[in-house]
Amino acid sequence: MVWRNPRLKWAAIGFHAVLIIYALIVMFPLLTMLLGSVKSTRDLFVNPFGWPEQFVWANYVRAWTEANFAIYFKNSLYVTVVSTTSIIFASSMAAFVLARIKFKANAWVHGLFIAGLVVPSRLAIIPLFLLVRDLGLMNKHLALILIYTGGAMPFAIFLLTTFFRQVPNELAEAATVEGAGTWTIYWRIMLPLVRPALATVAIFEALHAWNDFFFPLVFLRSNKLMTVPVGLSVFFGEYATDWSTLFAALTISILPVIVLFIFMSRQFIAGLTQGAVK
Amino acid sequence: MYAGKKGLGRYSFWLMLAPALLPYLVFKIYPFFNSILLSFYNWNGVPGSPKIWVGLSNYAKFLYQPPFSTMFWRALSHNVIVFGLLLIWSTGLGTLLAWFLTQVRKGGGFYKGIIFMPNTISIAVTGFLWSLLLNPQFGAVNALLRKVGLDALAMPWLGDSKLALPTVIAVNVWHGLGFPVLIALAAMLSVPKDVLEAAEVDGANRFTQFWKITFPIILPNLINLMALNFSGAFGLFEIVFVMQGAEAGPFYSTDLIGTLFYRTAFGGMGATASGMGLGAALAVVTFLIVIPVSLIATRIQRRYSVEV
Repeated sequence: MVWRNPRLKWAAIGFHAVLIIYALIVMFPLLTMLLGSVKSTRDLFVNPFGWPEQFVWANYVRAWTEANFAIYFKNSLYVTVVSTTSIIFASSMAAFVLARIKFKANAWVHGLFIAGLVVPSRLAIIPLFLLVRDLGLMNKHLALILIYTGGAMPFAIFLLTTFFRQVPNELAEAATVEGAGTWTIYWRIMLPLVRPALATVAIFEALHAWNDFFFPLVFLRSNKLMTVPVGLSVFFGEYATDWSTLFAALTISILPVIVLFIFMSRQFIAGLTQGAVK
Repeated sequence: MYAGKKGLGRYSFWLMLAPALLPYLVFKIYPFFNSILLSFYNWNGVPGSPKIWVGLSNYAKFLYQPPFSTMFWRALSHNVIVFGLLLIWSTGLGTLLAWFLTQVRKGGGFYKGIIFMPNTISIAVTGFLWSLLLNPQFGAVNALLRKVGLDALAMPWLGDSKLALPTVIAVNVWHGLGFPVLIALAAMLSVPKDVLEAAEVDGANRFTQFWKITFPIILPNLINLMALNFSGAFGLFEIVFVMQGAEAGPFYSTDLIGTLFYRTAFGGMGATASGMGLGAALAVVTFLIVIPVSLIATRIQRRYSVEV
């Protein structure tokens, strides 16, 4: 569309104005947090959102070491990497079998996985709690990894099956003639072809594991095992008045993901929008 | 493609299904069905303690026996309010911003990235951040309002029982708005350009173009977003827990099914309510409310799926 007359030009300025105002509403809390994280607490209370009087980097040191953020960060990283890897392997193998191998129960198994799309996991927390306790997995990262893996299957398999079905038959047939077995076809031929879908699943599930608060809240007891979001809640209880350290801790929690988002926003947006329409 | 045909090798594909099937059955499907079973028992969850069949009495407690019924209906009414707020703030505002994005020629990608950014932050971390910003004395929000002369608007946002729920939901929308914007935007971009241009030639202004052409086309996507608002309202927990505590203060004014369920399951409601069966019954009631709407949403989604 071309703005032929001044009236339309003014309309365009109006549209930009509204969008800029909303962009400021998004940025204001994040910038306040960033600036707050390098102020002294006194400076912060006098001047909550302006430029810092002087930069106090010690807030970060305090959050990282004294407040255990180094440990929380490592725990989050471990849980995220292990669960994302296991989700990718488990779901891609299953989706490959369901998309490419004919067997009697195929439609039934596929339906069983898809049915999980409408079951909210967290509402089943009571039996899940009893199960985790009886399996001796209480206060262990493995509990989170298994719950994330089981919970991710419906969406991951739903998405990957669609992609595996789009791979032309000739490729697999040619490989079978060459003597390739089921595993080789999956690993060497199919998996590389669905890489974009794998990336979508990986981003969505990694972010979910990294950001989750509910399951760590229920299953993790000792401070040294906590992930970043639950660690932050302990920290907010202990350091309630030390706002500049709180802002530093918030920045440590938020910034890595935001930076990744800035560099990979297209993949993030694809992963999150497809992931959330479950 | 067929699996290998010789002997046991014929069933080898089950080995490839197992890593997905086992955790899914054990940690997702089994707890779901066990919730239904547990809801008919009175049990404190301690191994070895008596597990007594009580039929539907756990459901009766929530539906019409105070004090639990009082809490249940109060939380449910708050969920209805939240759903209403989300319709306007999430789907409504999201659609509006998406339409604005289609009307600007430059900077669309930039705005889109900014609007979506909070979506990548943990919802719990978002709650912690905003609880500092909304602090009545030292928070940046009230400081900003005072600075621009709007002192009258500098309120105790989270401490007032009328303001707290809308404020918490506003924070939730700040976090999640990028999603409806992108869904609505993708739907709007699927509207054929030549149709809009023809309408423009015929003298239709952009508002008429939106109401008469774009809106009817994107309506299925908007209905889908509304269904997601509905199930989303019932899934809310962290934001209230983090900002207002498990007791969903002040005076339970922000209590939702999610927080009520957490207290029923993990204490905070007194000894009489610590029963696993009572919590399970609440979970089943919520399943019965949410699942039909999710099913409808999935159907609409499948029928009119949008490429993002």
